[in-house]
Amino acid sequence: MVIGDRDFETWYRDERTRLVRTLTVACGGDVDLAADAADEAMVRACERWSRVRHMDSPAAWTYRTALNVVRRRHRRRTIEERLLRRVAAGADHQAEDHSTELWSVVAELDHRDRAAIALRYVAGLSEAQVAEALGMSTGGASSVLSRARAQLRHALTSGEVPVDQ
Amino acid sequence: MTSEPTGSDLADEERERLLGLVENLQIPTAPAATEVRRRADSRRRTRHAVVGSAAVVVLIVLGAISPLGSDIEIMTGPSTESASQPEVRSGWVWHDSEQIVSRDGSPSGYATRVLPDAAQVVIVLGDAATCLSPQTCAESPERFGADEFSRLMSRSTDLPALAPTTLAGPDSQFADADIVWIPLVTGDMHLGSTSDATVAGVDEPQQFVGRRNVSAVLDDLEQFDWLDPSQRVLLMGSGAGGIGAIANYTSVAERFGDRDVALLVDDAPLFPTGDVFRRCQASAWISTFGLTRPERWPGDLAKGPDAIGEVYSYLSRLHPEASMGLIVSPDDAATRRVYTTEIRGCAPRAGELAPTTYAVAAEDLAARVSQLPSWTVVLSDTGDALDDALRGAPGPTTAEIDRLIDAVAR
Repeated sequence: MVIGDRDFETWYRDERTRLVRTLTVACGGDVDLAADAADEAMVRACERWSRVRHMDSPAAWTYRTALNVVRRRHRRRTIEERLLRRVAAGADHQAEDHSTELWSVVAELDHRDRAAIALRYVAGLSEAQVAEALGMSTGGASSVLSRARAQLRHALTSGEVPVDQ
Repeated sequence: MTSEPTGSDLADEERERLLGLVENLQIPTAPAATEVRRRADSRRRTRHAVVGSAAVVVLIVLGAISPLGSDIEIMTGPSTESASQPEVRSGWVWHDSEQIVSRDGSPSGYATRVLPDAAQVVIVLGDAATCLSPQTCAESPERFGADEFSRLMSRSTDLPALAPTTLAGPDSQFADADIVWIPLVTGDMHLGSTSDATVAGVDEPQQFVGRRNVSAVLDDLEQFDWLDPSQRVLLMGSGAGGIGAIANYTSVAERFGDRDVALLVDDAPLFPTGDVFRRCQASAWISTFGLTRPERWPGDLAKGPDAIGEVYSYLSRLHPEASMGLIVSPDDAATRRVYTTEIRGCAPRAGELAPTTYAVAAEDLAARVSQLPSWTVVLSDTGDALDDALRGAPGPTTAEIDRLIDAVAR
């Protein structure tokens, strides 16, 4: 996505909701964490807007930044939950308005596979942009996407996620 | 009925089900764009407030006499304004700084290699001999500047562990990363905070200011826009550089705020005090180097040398969300020598530190650290296993090292 000279406010209004939705899938349903990470990434994008706006894909840069925030906060939360001996089923954090079964399928995917699916099909990024957002080669992203699609498809049709993720 | 997927894509119905998940989400209210801009402006002002004093930048564009194959060109000039928006180039840049001091008191610096759109920045603390006696000080470089860096880059043999050419080489897992390389110029494992220290039997005063040097590099890095907030950060070291990486991790992690900062350490086992790491040696490190507890570490280190061996659990408790990797080599003679060398203030050992004693201690350490939540540990059959892996040299544990890098740092 090339945005030329559009200002930050316009881009922010256009992208924020899609960013939160994408991150929610990448988070396995945690909409609060997704919104928190999205807002942090938007501040960082604004901070460096003079550079970000001229990138081939400001969205890919922002998704990469947001996914870093998600990963760090999710890891912290997981450890806190482990320390508190809570069951990390994620039920406390999952979005309320959704198909529980489908969210479970998404949540069971490997975190990178989940992020790839979210970037490709919720954010609508190209495979090259997915690769950029995930910090990997295009070939690597294609491979991740292919595997993630197969697992998601299998889960959607059979109702279970393959063990060999 | 689910429509058949076309080629390698999701079927329409599968895609619709996925999009249906998010369409009705109760998304928290978005902050106003003006609020986002206000927060960004505030951070920008904070960032520019720490722009440091005039360092001299020496640009070394790797060339024909270097292992990477092109002419070396050296340019010097003030970096005050230019450093905030450095030119992106594929070669290495040596940054000469008055704030970074060699063991003999001469100015030193650090090197960077910046690539367009790198997803990761790797900060590497260099390895070199530790200066604690006339013998070991003689093996430890007492100064390192642009000339020494240029010579290092022109060499293809006798390289220190995790040398710049290794890190950026074609077989390196970090070939696509931005790299910051900080040489060990103080003989103190990057631990020290003491100026004009004395070493028995060595005439010249020693500048054991390794921790200050790392801090000065971090000050400089805050000027650089190329340290992009989307990048993951890895702090890495081998040998003395690995011990320095452990000791400086908290400072580095806090400088990068909310970003992931991983830690990868090779050949740098810090044992509990005992038969291998004697209390007198731990005390010598503290007194000679002026070792103080890093910021925000628990205060136990102030109680005495025994706490040095507890750094792994300290880091795990303080940074529970961090990814940390440790490579331990029970049969590594070079690292064993660190714990065998005669140390000022230590009575001579009754007998040589037996390889089996060291190996058992190393295996115990690996087993203990592997139980800590932040750490992933690999037992390696050889020393310098990380360096071997980055050079593409096959070794008995290369595959395990590759998996460790993938788990911790990618």
